[in-house]
Amino acid sequence: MKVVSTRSLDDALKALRDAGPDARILAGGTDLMVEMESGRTHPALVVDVWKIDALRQIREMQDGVEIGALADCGALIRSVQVARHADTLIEAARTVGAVQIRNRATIGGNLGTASPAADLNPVLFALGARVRVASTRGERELPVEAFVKGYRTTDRAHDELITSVFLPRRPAHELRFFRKVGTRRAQSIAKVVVSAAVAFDGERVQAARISAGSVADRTLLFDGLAQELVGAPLPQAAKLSEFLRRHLDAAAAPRDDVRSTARYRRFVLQRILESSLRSPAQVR
Amino acid sequence: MRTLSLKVNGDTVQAAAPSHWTLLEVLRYKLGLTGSKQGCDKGDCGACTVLVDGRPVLACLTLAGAVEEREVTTIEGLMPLHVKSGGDGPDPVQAAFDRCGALQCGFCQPGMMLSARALLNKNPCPTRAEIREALSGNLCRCTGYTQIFEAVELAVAESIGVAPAPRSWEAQRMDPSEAQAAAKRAAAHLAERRKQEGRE
Amino acid sequence: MAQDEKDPVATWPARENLKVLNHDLVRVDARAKVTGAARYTHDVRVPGMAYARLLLAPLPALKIKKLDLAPALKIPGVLGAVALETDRTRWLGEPIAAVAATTPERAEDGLRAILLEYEREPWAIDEAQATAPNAPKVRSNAPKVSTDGDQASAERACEGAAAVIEATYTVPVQHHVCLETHGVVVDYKGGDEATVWCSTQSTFGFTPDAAKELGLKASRVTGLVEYMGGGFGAKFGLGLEGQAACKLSKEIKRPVHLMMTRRDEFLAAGNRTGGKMRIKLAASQDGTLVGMVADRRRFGGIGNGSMAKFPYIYAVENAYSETLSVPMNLDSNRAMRAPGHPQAGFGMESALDELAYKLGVDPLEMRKRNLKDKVYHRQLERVAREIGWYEHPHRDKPGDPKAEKCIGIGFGVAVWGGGGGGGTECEVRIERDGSVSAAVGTQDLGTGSRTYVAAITAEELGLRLEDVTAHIGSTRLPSATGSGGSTTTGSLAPAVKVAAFNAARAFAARLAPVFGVDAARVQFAGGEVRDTQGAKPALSWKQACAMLPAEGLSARGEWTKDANKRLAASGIHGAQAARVEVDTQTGRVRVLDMIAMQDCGLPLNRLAVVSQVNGGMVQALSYALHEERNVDAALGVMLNSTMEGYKIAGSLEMPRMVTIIDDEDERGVIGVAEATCIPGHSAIANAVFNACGARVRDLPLTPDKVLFALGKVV
Repeated sequence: MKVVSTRSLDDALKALRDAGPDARILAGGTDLMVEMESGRTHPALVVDVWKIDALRQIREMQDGVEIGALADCGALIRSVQVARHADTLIEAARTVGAVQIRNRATIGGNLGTASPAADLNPVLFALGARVRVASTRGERELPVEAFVKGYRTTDRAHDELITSVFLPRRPAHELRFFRKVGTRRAQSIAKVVVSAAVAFDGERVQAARISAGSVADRTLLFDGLAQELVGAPLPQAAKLSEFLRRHLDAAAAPRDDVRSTARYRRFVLQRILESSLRSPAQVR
Repeated sequence: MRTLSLKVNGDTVQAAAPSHWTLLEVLRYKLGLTGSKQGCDKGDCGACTVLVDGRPVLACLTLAGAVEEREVTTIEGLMPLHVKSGGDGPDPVQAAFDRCGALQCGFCQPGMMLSARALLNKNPCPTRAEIREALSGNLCRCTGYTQIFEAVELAVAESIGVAPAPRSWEAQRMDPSEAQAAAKRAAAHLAERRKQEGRE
Repeated sequence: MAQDEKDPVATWPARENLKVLNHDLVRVDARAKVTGAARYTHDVRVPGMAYARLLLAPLPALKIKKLDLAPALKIPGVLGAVALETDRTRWLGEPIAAVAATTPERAEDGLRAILLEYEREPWAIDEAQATAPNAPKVRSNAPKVSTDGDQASAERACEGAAAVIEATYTVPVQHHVCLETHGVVVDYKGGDEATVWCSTQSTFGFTPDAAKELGLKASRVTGLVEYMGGGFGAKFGLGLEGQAACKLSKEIKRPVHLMMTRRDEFLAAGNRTGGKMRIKLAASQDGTLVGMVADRRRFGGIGNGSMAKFPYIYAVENAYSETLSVPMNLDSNRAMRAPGHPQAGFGMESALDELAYKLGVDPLEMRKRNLKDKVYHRQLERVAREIGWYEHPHRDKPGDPKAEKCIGIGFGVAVWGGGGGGGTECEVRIERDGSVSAAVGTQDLGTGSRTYVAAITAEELGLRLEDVTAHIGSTRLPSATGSGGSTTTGSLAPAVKVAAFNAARAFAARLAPVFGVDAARVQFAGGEVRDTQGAKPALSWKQACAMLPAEGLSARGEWTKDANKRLAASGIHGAQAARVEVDTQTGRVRVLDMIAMQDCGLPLNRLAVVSQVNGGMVQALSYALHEERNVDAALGVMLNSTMEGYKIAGSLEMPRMVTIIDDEDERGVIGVAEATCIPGHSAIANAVFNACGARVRDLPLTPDKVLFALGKVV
């Protein structure tokens, strides 16, 4: 096995271009190092991008915040810019692993691995994140839900590298939440993760993005559900339950696995969405 | 194989190792620093926790090459670094672990103490909740953690010069109202301290 | 306690006169442990040492057709390879071969190169497969049903009773999860002697087998256990991994370091027996247990499994039980902290609890009514008071599950032996410079044996703990038994006490002429030597020791039945209470408080006793909420052979824990470790029912099972 380690984005992109499809990208190592140790993967070439400090910056822009792909969970938690624009992302970052893991697990890694249980991704879906990728061929940007394509599968071409994630400015009057249900409270992969952003115009829902992790083979965005919410006030308690059941049954496809059962996940997904949507105190 | 130049416990050391070796492998199999324990190799147990520029990281998930030019602290360095900075004997965290019986087999302790040290470096007066959170990546199978929390609290109390709350095993032999009063006094001191730091 | 003036015998002083024992002692090896200086087997480095890894069977039952090690030997860095099994394997994880190389990584490369050809044989890896009509034969000797009690009278008692419950309780396979995995370092370079380090619970247990594997005389092999990272029952004997290391070392004539990986540890280093208990339990109107009929299955893989007898602790007038081992193609169970007791305790405590609520009897009163030993009564009352039971709003019926968060309290009790036995000997040496050592080959699993070896000696000689050095963990030192079943304290403490006592007597005899009195009047206390009745000034300890010859003074002591009678005892009791919060939306259970009261005779080091009890409670909490081996029923593959997948409780799961040492127990020393992990999970399960009415009869109490029990998830 060969490890190419570089501090320069250009060099990393060239290495990826030359390497072909079998190379793996190493950032904080919380996923790839585990895969290699357990023998699940033996890449011939690893491109180590951890030292490219240019990808670590968090910048506040006119229309939102741009987070470098190598920003680790610890950096997200400490960032005032992230706190201003994406408080639920901080909540999510706090639930990742434990402090040692948070010092290495990056936002780009979360996206690049695209695990259905990733903690940050439902928040990125809910906040309408845009993913920026680069290659020697140029740069492009796409919505996060287009980037994540399936079980640990993304739209990234083998010569591309995620460089940053852009989160649009927070609108006024938006209900946001993040909930994670696991077993052990630290160092635990989720049974169910839910995040949402629901913008209001007075009582009426103006826009909604509702996302969940660990309930299908990938992070889900409940589009149909969101569309039905728009234009009217949130359904009353009695109706909300039925409303959610209808939509979630169609959209979510949880599985039985070591961490939990499908029927449990379905129930809890609905319950925590219901209770979170009923607490408009979080709107600001 | 390449020659790495690492800064470990204040020393610059050279080690020849394959480029894919982890920091833990270099520490344990090249440098003879076996205080960082190998418990799971997969970032789950925390026994290999070391400090990199003062932050706790898992040596088993970190390529050795990634920490060149960074300050690495392992358990072997804790007491010498404390002495070098004018301290006397073991780091207060080590001394408190001793005195609170915060260990049994001891295999998880090096990582546990480095996590505690990292916490106290950035937060000299943490609450019990903050201590639990900071140690949540370090698993222990013997002690039941409680005496570990108490040890960190003792280190805190001593470093800021207040009497610690009676530890659970001490409180048991005190008059309940006296134990409560002592715990309250300690809590008030620490709250005052946190207030001074602008945290409450 | 009768003491013959002419021939005094070793006894413990009255509790109030103890200066070292029964105090909070800082471990004598704490400094070594907190500085990273303590060298565990995993940390041993010997010049020229090779690192080895094991090749484990990839499927549950194989007929090996071909095992070719030659390709491994061609891998750069590989130094040697040995076959361990060439015919059949019976569980996924059974070691087949081992490879030694210059680094652990090279050894793993070597494993991948080994050519293994096999045919699958039929296997059974769950109860359904193992009991099917055409089930494969896992073992040649099929286990037989064992029975206990009279079935007819037990059935009759149940029929006529005021209340009966009938339910099935199951417990998962639990793993030890010692932080240090199993392994050995064999320092052998081809001569006629060797040194072997082993992460073990028995210094003297593995050395003869290591010698045999190496083809050496046992007297030429030194076994060392300087520090070891946890055992909990899993680490006795050389083991297949130790045999492999010796074989490799013998073949390549180099030292070999073989530590199991975490995955190896989950697959091939033992576990706690899983099981199933169908229980019918009956009581009279006042809560007296009158009848019990139980059908029990032990799931110990290819092993027999263990499950303590029914009725467990509680008295039942007419009880009958049948027990059967169901062998499966899975790693064998091994002893694990109180083998068989946490399982049986869960069945018994749950069934009794169900019956109490059915009768509308306070479950605490129901327990007391059926516990003959009054020690449990005072312990239960104390933990009940401490946890707030008497102020709890719903004691004989569960709380309303409509609330989002429900609070409940539950109880459980424990029993264990903890007595010692023969085979342990200690030597105490007093040097002319005043230093003292106590030497015995025993091991310290983290329980603190090294500390109390020094403490007992210091107490006897009137010294401070730091004045005595304990030497342990070597076969070059006097013999000691292995640490299993909490027997170490009962075996070791009397031997050390007698050795120290003999040293004191011998020293007194030498000093008697100095004081011009009979040796019986020479007393060692407070770092001084004095005549208890005389006017002569006392000598300091150092002054007295300076009178010794250059070789100092040494004395031996051993465990004897007689010493045991005076110094140790057996049979301990514990009661625990748990307070939990159940989130009825997610089914998550949070344990808020755990209170334990435990007797253990004379506590040698109170701080260590508290740590043992806290640790036992957390293992039970972990068993209650998280731990479970998951095996894919079709493939026999363990799905959670990592510490992420197999969860043990972490710092955020810790409840407020209070450990109360039962100081009314005035007996001699007794081992305490085992009892402490027996009642906690039962108390938690009972607390969950008390909180919200969810009776989960299948551990662990995962959120989905709690919601299912509440009827919220179907």
